[in-house]
Amino acid sequence: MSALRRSLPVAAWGAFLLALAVVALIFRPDSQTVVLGFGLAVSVIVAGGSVLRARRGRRAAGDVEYTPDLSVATVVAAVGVSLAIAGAEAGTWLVAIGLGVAVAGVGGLVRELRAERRERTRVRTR
Amino acid sequence: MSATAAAGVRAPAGGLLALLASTDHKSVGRRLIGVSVAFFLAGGVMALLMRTELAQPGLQVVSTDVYNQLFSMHGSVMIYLFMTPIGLALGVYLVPLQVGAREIAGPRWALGGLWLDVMGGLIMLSGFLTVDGAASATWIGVDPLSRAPNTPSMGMDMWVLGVAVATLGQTIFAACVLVTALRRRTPDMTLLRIPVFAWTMIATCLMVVFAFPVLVGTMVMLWIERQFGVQIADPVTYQHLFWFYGHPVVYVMFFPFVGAVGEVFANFAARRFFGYRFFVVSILAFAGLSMTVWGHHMFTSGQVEDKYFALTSTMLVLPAGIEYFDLIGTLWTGRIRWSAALLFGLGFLLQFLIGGVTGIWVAAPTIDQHDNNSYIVVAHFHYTLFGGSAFGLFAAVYYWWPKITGWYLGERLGRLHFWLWVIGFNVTFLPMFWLGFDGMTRRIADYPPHPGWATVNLVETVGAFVIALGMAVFLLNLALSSLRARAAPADAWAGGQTLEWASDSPPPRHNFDVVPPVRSYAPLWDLRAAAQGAAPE
Repeated sequence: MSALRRSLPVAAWGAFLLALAVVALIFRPDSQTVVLGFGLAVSVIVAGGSVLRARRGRRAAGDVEYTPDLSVATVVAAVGVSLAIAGAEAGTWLVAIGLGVAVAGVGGLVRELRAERRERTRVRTR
Repeated sequence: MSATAAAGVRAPAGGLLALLASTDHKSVGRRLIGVSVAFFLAGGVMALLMRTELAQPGLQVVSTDVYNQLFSMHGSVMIYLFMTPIGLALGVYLVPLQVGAREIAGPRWALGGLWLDVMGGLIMLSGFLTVDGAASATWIGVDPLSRAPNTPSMGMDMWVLGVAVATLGQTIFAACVLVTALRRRTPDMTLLRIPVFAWTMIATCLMVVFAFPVLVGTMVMLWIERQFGVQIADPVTYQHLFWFYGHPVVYVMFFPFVGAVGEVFANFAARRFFGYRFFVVSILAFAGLSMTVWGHHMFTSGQVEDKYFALTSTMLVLPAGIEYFDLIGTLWTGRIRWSAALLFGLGFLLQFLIGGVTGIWVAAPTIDQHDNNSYIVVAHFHYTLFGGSAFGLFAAVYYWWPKITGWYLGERLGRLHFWLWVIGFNVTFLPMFWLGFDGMTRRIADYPPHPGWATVNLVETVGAFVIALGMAVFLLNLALSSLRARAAPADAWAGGQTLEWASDSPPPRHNFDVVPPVRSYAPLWDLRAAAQGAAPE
């Protein structure tokens, strides 16, 4: 499938939003409406363009998946971030715990990603 | 990394760790559904407490302050923690299967999103454990009520943080579903071969990805304002930013179930989905328009251009009409097989119609001035979100349950659940239109002994308990059916049209051993037609 066709849903949707934002101008709306309307249309079109440019991501059904079945590190990172955010209200003690847990999670993620890369290299060179 | 992983075929991981940390999209989807249903039960208990309080004039069950917390948290739980994530959860589970993908795009991100959603919900609900109780500034955190001098409680702060965290999580797993549908399809699935449900998920996830980050930013802004006593945005700007999220989310809670009901109708009418191309265009137009109607929530503020927002809001009837036409057209000449899933789909179709038509009322600025803040609004959005979305959700639940679990839910109890919900729902919410016309305002713990109001409110309370009874029947069905565990084959309803029905029930870790050829949006229908010697449509 060509890159142009791949980006079609997002790009067409962005063009439609742009048309609606232009229609809004006829009614001389307030500044917030203009900023939100055009901001949305532009961000959708930019996203459509990046989908157009991106080459990675498309995989056939038979391709090998390297992601591990379990990712405890992801859970630890997400819970850590959430605790740190809750700590903004509960107190710095929870922020500290949350950040510590999040760092441990990110460390685990780095380890997982390295293992994935090694496995990918091993399969390629086999 | 296991050897089987390298071979591309993996056995599912088991145990407690798998329950917490599996990256399999089906496991993530199942956990999201389970967590969302748990939040739904919590929100339902809050609704019953409110309805019990309103059964008679005066304060009998809870104080005004607790009532304010209950309606704020009921709305928050149902919207942020139940209906929004459960629609996306169906996408997490089903979209990779429907598009013939082995895995969701960004499985770790999807898993992380699930946990942010869970933690956000817990943070939000933890407000009940604080000294002053939970948030009480409505589910929209209306400004200036949500500012620190007006609602200084810690529970309100926890609400702000919880909404931000849960919404961030939902944005992340919606992005995974969107990328899967756009980039991970099996090679012969072109854009116009994507199944109906997957298209509705594309439209849903587009709205999530572009509208939800605005809410996260708005909550961060509100938190800074509350903590430091500064004003970053005036109340009108807050409303603009909130409703920029707040209206699309209504369709985020609707589109997945339109797609689900479309699949249910096609299967149980034994025909291909009618008007597919028009449906695809209309769902994208619907999603686009829904991003430009937020100002109709602000008509009474006098601070928005009424004509533009009335125009875009009224234009929503065009794509909605096309979708209704397609859904009815699918049933029209079909050979109908009655089932609980089909009944819930029909309930969705008829009850959402009432929600949609009353939506056109409030899209007219003059009528909105009259309806604003009355029980008409409560009735309207419950007809869309309960009569519509919740019924559509249960159509999906009864339809895909055998695929997800490998065993059927009981039909008889399913139909009893449906009829209890139809009766309970309409007894609860239809009279609210009359109460609203008669001037009863929403978000009040007590009301004056106006002639007829007490009787109508009592009837509504009885209706709410009938809904609860229906939910109890569903849980009983779940328990009894799990004991019987009547095994489901791959094509559980013997008429599946989309790729998930080609995979085992439940699907293996890698989804498909072989992905069937895709020649249309109903590939299994094509295969059956080819086997019978009929030319594909």
